[in-house]
Amino acid sequence: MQDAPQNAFKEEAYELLSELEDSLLELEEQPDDHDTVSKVFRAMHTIKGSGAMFGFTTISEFTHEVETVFDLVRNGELPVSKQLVDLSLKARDHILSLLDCETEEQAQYAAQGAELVARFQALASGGSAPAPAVVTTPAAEPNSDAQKDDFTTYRIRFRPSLDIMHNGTSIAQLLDELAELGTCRTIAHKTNIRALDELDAEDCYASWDIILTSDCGEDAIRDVFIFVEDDCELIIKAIDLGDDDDGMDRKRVGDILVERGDISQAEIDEVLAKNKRIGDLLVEAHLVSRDQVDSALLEQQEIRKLKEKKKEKTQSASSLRVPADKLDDLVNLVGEMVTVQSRLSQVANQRHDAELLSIAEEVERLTEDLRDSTLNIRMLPIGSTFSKFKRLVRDISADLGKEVELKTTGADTELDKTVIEQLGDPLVHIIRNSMDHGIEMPDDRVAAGKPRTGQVHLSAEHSGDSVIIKISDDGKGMDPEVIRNKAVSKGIIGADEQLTHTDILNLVFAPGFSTAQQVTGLSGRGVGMDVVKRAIESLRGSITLDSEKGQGSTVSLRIPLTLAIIESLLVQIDDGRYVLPLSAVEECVELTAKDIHDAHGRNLARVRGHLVPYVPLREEFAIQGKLPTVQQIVITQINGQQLGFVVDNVIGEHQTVIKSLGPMYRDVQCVSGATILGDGSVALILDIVYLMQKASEEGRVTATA
Amino acid sequence: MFELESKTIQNSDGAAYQLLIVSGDLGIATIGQLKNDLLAALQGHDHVILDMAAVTDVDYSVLQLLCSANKYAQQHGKHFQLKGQCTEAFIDRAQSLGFFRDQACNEAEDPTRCLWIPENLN
Repeated sequence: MQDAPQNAFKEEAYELLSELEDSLLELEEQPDDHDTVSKVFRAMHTIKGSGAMFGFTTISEFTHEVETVFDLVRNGELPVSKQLVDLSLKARDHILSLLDCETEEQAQYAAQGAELVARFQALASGGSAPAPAVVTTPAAEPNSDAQKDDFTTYRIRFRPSLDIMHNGTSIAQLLDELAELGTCRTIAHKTNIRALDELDAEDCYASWDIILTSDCGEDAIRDVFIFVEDDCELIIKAIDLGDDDDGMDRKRVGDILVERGDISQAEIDEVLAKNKRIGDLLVEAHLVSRDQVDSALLEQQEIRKLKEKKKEKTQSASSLRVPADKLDDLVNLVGEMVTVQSRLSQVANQRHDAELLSIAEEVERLTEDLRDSTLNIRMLPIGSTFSKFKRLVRDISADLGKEVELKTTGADTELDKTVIEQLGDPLVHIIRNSMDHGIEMPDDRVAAGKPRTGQVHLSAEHSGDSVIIKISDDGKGMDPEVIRNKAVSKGIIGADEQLTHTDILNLVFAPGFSTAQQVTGLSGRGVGMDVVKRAIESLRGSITLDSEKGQGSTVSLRIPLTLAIIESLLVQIDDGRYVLPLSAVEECVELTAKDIHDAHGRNLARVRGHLVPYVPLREEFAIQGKLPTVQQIVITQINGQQLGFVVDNVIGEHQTVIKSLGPMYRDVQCVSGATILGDGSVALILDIVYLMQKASEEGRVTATA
Repeated sequence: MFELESKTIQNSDGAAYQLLIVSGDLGIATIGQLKNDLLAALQGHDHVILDMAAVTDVDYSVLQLLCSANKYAQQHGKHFQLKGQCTEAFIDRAQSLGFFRDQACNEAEDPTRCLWIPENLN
């Protein structure tokens, strides 16, 4: 068991490493992006620094070597090459494996580490000579290694010697030069200027306080004064912005004066007792000059401005790290709350008590907000998963000798954390499939009149209460004939079965189907699309496939936003209550005894001139009891297929907190979970996807036009 | 080089003041000369107004000299004023050298006569 700070380091390091990977890949695309180089450098630097602090010496020492190389890159001494990116990615993986294993096990990676270090050193020493494998040479700008929007406010005290002007120094020019570095507020201390009869007009009697807000470093400021170094006293100090925690939004003038050493705290306290503006008081008391107070006031304003800017920035980015299980607890509690609330609403409705009703309504509203906000906390942008795939695509294309580019859109689409985690593997598999089976070899692509580089496009977008994720490629697409023959030879379908284009494509989701003629190391390792399909369905999602021979394929996933609480339709069959996800429900129609009679036992209902197949759930679940005279059909639609479910009665909308059924009922199909109703009874959640599949196998489902 | 013209102006009420009209580039090279001229004027007259409208450039030493002249005048019970100093050259320089103030400094004998407060810019 490791102690907390070390775990915190690991957590931070994992995050940095994933950032590092992104930055490196970015760097490969834009080798001359100085910001990205700095990002890589900083990530390495942080890992090295905190690694050493928490006793991860192996990591720290190794990272040091990588950092050294990136320092050269940052200074423009070493170009960004593919070789460097490759090596750095390997180094990143090496650090990751060091992080993952126990300290004692790190020895096994020593050889690998040493080899990488040697290669880095070779690269670094070779880099000083003009390297042939240059992608682009980064423009070596001075100062550009400073963070772009990291502004610092400096307090500069410039006290020239009396004779500074004798050798031709122009103070105005110095200050103008300084002003070019950033926003400059200047105040001259004129107290020492003598009266005319005592004045040597060529001497300089004043001194200056300059408040400079700039993104440059202290060195850049010193550079301005480099030629007058011996003729002046120069104090440069980055102004501490003061502590935010004390509730004061700015430093007081008195504090600034004390900090500058213009006055002591005791003197301030004495003057403060007189209850006037501190600046005026101090001047009146002849403790400081008006200039000094003005200068301090200037600084105060400048700090206030800077802080406001920083505030805006942090507001957009501030976040809090919370362990996932705490969130899960919260979601569970909200689930309980929703259940209790619906019970309260139910009781209130029965009592006909206006006061109770209004309370119940209030609670309902609050609970809804609470539920939404809680579920929102768990929402994460899917982009983190996307960036993982960049690396995957890069590695696979190198392995396959193909040229593939991954494009992503909608990286900021948010999905429940659990969903994102469980989506990873299926997505990896689909992308691998696209690259392995879809995208052709570069030469074949050129022959087919396509660009050499294949494209895999990963996109995510919101659609109602779901997110649609599409993975499309511009590869060779799927040949329906090949799929058909394969399915026949595998005995999945009969040789003379008539199938539509969609049906044929859907065969790839059948268990035991693999389209690759050869089993490669990437896809087709016995894990087929059927596994992907099952994984998606376990997320209550659905998967569809579209492919045009020679044009490419698109796999679309429809994933619900959350797994914890859903909007649903509560229905009743005999005494039992059931829940259908509202997102799948299209409409409810009546089913009379006459309708059943007219359909001649075919389980088809005529809805506005259109025939819709239905499943009598009463029969499906073998429920006995008296049939009501008018039953209801709940018509659902999933993946473009319509199916009705016949129930006794539709109760209404319901907030369903999904509870899993537990291991005892693991093998139960037809229901995907259960929920607790307001009166404490249990309602089963129907697994519509499974029911539809079952009906489809029995030949009952029709596709909607 | 600068040029200086000195005139005595008589008001209708009989009060007189010395008007110094200065023109050209003022700077460290000629600051000694300007100082002597100003000092002479202040020693010889109770009220001196320096018209700077035709001044094309100033540097730190000039601003220092003006401040110094004002101090001298106040110490000796005289009145030193600027006129037409709101030229681009003057304003920009005084601004970048941090001379302007909202209130006069506390050493001033007469805070209303500080050269660098808004009331006295014309």
